[in-house]
Amino acid sequence: MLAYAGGDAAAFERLYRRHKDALYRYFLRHVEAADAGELFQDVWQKLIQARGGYRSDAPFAAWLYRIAHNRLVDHWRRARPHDELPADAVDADARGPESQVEHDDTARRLLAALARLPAEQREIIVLREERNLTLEQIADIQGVGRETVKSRLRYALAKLREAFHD
Amino acid sequence: MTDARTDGPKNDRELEDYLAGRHPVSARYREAARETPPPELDAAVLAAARAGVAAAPKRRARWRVPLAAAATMVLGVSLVSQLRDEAVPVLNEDRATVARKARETAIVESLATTDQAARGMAAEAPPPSVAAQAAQPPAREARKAEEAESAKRAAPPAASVLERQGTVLGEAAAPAASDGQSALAARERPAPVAPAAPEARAFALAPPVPLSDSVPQAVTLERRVGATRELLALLQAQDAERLSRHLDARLPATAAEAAIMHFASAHAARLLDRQDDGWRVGIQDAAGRDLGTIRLRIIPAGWQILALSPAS
Repeated sequence: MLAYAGGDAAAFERLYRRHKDALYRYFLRHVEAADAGELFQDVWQKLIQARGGYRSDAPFAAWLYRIAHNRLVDHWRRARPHDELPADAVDADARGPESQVEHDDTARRLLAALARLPAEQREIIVLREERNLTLEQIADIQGVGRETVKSRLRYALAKLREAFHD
Repeated sequence: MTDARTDGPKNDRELEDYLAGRHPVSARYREAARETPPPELDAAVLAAARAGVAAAPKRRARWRVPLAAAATMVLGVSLVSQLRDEAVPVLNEDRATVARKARETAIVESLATTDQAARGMAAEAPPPSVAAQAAQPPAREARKAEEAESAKRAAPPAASVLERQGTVLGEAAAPAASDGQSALAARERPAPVAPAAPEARAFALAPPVPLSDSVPQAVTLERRVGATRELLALLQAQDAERLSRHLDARLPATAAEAAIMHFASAHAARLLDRQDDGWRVGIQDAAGRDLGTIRLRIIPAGWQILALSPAS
């Protein structure tokens, strides 16, 4: 990121290739495909504009997903200004053609169960699975304490387990 | 349905497994999560990134902006501080000097002529020491003539510039560069009968100080004022390269510019605006009255006075 901030466009491309799929899926797990594409592009645009403000003392992924989290919250607030974060994400099967990959039954069931989790629990699973962020980094992104993240994660795992036992 | 809150130990074990990568959810997620952004999104983002780099100005070293700001602050504060600290003493000193010299001139004139105006000035009882000095006209005249010649050689441009302001401000605005000149001129014209207007008197306070006395201080101030102006200009132009070089630069000062800046140093100088061809600096007296403006421009060697405009 520092190289890109210094004017190296090729450095951005390497960074983009490394993070783009995970970021795209992060949005796909929370919104419909059309919105996911828009939010995905917005985050990169914001990152391009804010490149001078990047500090190397924080992992790039944590910085990227903090921007993504904020953009997601903005999106929800605009869509439903009087509601809190949505309790459920869209159904995995309703995401549009890009996401209609050929999942086997297990994968489909997992994504469906994930979509039924409260957003803040779902986000923890996605951030862990996609970027292996630590509980502290996730807590920082969500703006809560580490113990809150642990608690949310416990609930999320329990619900996912139940979904597979049903 | 199992309540996660009532199944603590099991959940703790499950959490540990998950964090250690042993939970089945992780394997299932890796299997399920294979979506990638469409190619058009990739192209759009990469194009935006390239455009961002192309549109950005050449990146400057991070230390330069704070350094420039700090340098400007230091110079600006020192300038303001010095102007504040020195304006009053210099002004007082100038007033005393002017008063003394006016009395001396009046005495000399009264001895040489019977002009009513000169007698009027002489009526302002001079101190005994001054009167004693005035009682030796030949030696003093010779010294004044010598000073006049010396000052003429030292600062002809200042004399010409300040003579221009003198035409606007009246006789009280004597040329700054030459005390001797004013003495010589005093012999060729009658001493002023009516006191000058307050503005004109204040404007004229600094110039009569002998250049030889004012130059060291004026040069110091000129360098500070000039350095500050130049820094402001460089900051305005965001010319970091020149700015960094400038920090070690030594600005030259001609005697003429020194005389003019001495005039400015005796009063308050403030930057008014930037014009096409330079900067406009406003000059005020100790009471805050506008006395005029100096227009100057930044040149590679420092700065150059373009015009000096007394307030109307």
